[in-house]
Amino acid sequence: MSDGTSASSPDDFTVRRALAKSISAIESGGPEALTIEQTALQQPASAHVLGITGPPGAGKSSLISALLPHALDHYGAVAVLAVDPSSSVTGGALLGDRVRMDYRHFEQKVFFRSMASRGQQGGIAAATRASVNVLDAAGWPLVIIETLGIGQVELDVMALADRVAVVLNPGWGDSFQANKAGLTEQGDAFVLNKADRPGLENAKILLEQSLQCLPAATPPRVFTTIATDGEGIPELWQGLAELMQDAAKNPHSRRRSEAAREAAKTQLIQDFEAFLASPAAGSPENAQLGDAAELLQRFYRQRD
Amino acid sequence: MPKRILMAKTGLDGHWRGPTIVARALRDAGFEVIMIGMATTAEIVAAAIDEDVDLVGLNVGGHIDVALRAVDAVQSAAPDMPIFAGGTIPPHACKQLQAKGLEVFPPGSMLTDIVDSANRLTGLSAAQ
Amino acid sequence: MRPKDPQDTVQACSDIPLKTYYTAEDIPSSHAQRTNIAPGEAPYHRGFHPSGYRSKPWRIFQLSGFGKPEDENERIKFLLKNGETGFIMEHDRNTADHCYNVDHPEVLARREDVGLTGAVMQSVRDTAICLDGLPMDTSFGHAGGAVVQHAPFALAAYWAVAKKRGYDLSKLAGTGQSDFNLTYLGCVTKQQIPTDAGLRFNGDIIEFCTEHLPRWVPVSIAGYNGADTGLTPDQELGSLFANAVEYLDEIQLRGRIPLEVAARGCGGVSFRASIKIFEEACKMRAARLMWSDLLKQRYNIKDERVANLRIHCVTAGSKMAYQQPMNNLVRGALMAVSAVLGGVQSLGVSGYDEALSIPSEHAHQMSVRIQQILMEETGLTDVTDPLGGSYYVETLTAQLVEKSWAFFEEIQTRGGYLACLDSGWLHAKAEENQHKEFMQTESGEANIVGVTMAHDDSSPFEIDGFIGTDDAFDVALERLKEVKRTRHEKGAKNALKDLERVCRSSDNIMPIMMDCLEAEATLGEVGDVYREVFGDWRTPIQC
Repeated sequence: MSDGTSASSPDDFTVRRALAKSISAIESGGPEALTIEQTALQQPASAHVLGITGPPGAGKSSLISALLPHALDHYGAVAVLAVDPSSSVTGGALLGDRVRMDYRHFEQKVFFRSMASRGQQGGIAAATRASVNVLDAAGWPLVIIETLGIGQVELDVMALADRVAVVLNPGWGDSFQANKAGLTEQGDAFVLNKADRPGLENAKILLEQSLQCLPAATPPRVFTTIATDGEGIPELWQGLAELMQDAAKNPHSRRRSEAAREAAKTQLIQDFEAFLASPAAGSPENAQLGDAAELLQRFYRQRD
Repeated sequence: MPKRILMAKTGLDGHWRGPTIVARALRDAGFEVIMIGMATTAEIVAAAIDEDVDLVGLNVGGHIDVALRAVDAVQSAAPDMPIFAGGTIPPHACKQLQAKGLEVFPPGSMLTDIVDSANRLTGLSAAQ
Repeated sequence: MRPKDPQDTVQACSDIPLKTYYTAEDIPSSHAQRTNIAPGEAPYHRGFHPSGYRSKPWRIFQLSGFGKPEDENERIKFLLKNGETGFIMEHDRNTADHCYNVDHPEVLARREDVGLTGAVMQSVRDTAICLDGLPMDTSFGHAGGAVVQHAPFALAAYWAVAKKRGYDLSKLAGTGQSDFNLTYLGCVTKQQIPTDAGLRFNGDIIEFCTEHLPRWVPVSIAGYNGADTGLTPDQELGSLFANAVEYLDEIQLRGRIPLEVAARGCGGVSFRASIKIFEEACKMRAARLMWSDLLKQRYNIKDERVANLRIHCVTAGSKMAYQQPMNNLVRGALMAVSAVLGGVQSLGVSGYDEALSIPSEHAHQMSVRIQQILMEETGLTDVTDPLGGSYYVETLTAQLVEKSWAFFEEIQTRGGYLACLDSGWLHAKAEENQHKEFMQTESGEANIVGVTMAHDDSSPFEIDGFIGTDDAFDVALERLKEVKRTRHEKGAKNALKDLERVCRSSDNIMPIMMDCLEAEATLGEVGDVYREVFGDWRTPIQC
């Protein structure tokens, strides 16, 4: 594991803060964000990226909290990006995912970042993609993306993650039917969380039937869990770990493709060059441009 | 760009009335409010750093020494990060927090004053 | 506060528009028939007993506790000496609410908080110190255990001490709490057993008391904790009865004890007595009427010893202001008046320093004195239900009943009270009201003297809050080590193993909890069993 994610000397706050500030810079957008992502993309992709999606209240955060100890055992360190909606009126947001996390497993080995969607549709924030790339470049071996509740169009997480788990609850059946065309194709694993609620068997049958209609040779697996008391969690983690290993072995099968990374890189370089050629580049307010990027580069070097 | 505020409770006492009202007012004023609930000093610092917030809000409910420890830890990890505090804080404890540079809002404080303070404090931190 | 124009709408807290005056025509006809019924007769809205406070004054019952068990013991003795007529044990919330010992990392991280809100009682030895010399056999004791997962431990500790002193449990009078409103709505803890496990605990306590402690009030639903979290009076009533129905349905489903007995066990409740005097008095009247109707209509229970609701009241802590704290003496007295006019059986008055700290000795003494003045000097006790027959009070009582039943029904349509806690629906209601109330103060629509008007920055009567002791943590840690060193280790471990087995079964948890306490198992060890077996409740709130 890289130095930046473990130790406890005061310096580590500097490095960790630099990482956090890079993500803020990405969220703010503009030329600095471009520099940071461009720098990050110079590193080969090595992190495993797991997407967790599902409707509001399905228990995504509790599930991630319960999975963390297993993920930490396996990967040594885990970064989580949790996306919540921004108010379209005020631009403000209440980001409450951390409240559901069990911090006993946190220490310095978990990097947790709450992101407001800031007007972005699709279940993630505009900055989520670049943040994944930065975390990857900074040496975080597993990045978990928790999207805000999904509807028909909120499936953008799929293009950022290697594998995606969809979290549902018993009784979700009716609305799930309406969505199944989109959803069943987008999940690599399905989790029926809050399995102690009535309607589990029905939901499971319904789900498995829908999944069997997919063209894939082996339909995605369905897991049942009660995140709050740990039931089904070891089995779920085992299944997810296998999926992630499979993605690593078969890079072409990843949902986030190398081609997409390359396209992002090209786009970024174009954007950045366009900016450098513009009059804004020379203005005094951009004089400090690249501070965070520079820190980040220091961090990348440290990692090597 | 919206400013980010971390809201934490230093004690294990789960009264959520005060922090909820304040969080809602801050959100309505356009802030991104990151809630972490009851948190230890180490958890508050880690969250403040990872979330790269512009301001830390502490809901203080218990002994003032617990809050002071959290203040010291945040100030040492991120000296430029402003902090404000609210909750059941008796006058002697308010003075101790103020001595560390905090703005303090005991019961009876107006939400508009709290929002003003958040605007001021995040504006200052951006200028630094 | 006075509206700008007398004809402007004025609303009761329960969102009921108030007229400028009332006449006989305003009383709904269904209720009008009931106004001539005497106190002590069903549906009891006019009072528990015909001769009311002339035959039995209310119990002066103050929350008390801090520091070490001996500090709490001393404070309780002080209150009893000053005229308190029952006593309440407060447990340290850091440890008790979470079932942690003081060496738990969450507690270690906040060691200075330990003992701030109640004494640390991690084993039966600590409880024995707290109860030393207290009249357990002749006085009405509250064993603490306000939070659901803590209740079995707190009760068993109290009863184990009583047994050891040779008292007959079947004659022991007192009360537990295990309040869902506090645990899952008002004061959400960091770790807590889920609501279904909580319901099972309370069912177990009710059954155990029926068999072994018939004079004990097994659980006490606290509307107070709903109201002080933001529920309006009608919502406080509606949710309280929705809660009671969960208990009674559970007992009915188990079918092991007569429902009448269980209903009697649930019929000791607490409400908040807030500052709107008439609405609050009406709330107590409405509560008795609703309980009587509920038992009759839903369970066909008519026994008057069961259907006659007994009410404990605490004045609203959240109405006590931080600024100019001496004003709170007046607020405390007036809120107590509302409770007494409503005919409650038991009363606690919040300390004037409530907004700053737990009560100082002086604040506690004044809370008792307020009650003594009301009881001895004011004539409030002379006539039962002195407000009965008032056009306004009878109308408002009837309107409250109607509105509260509507809220009760709304909870039922959302799957019941537990489901509304799990989903966060009740929390959202409370938050909405809090926000509204705050905004009214903020906009100048409502005033708080000393806070939004009549400012006085140079008051010479400022107080600095009560600090308590500074050795509660150290002593608790020492005693924890001591009990683990000197107890019969194998006995304690076996009892805990049995507890785990019982928790995983559907057997009653209380007999084995008594064994655990007698074997000197500690609070944190019991909590560890719960966490292992029941997991954690997923809190629906974000703070």
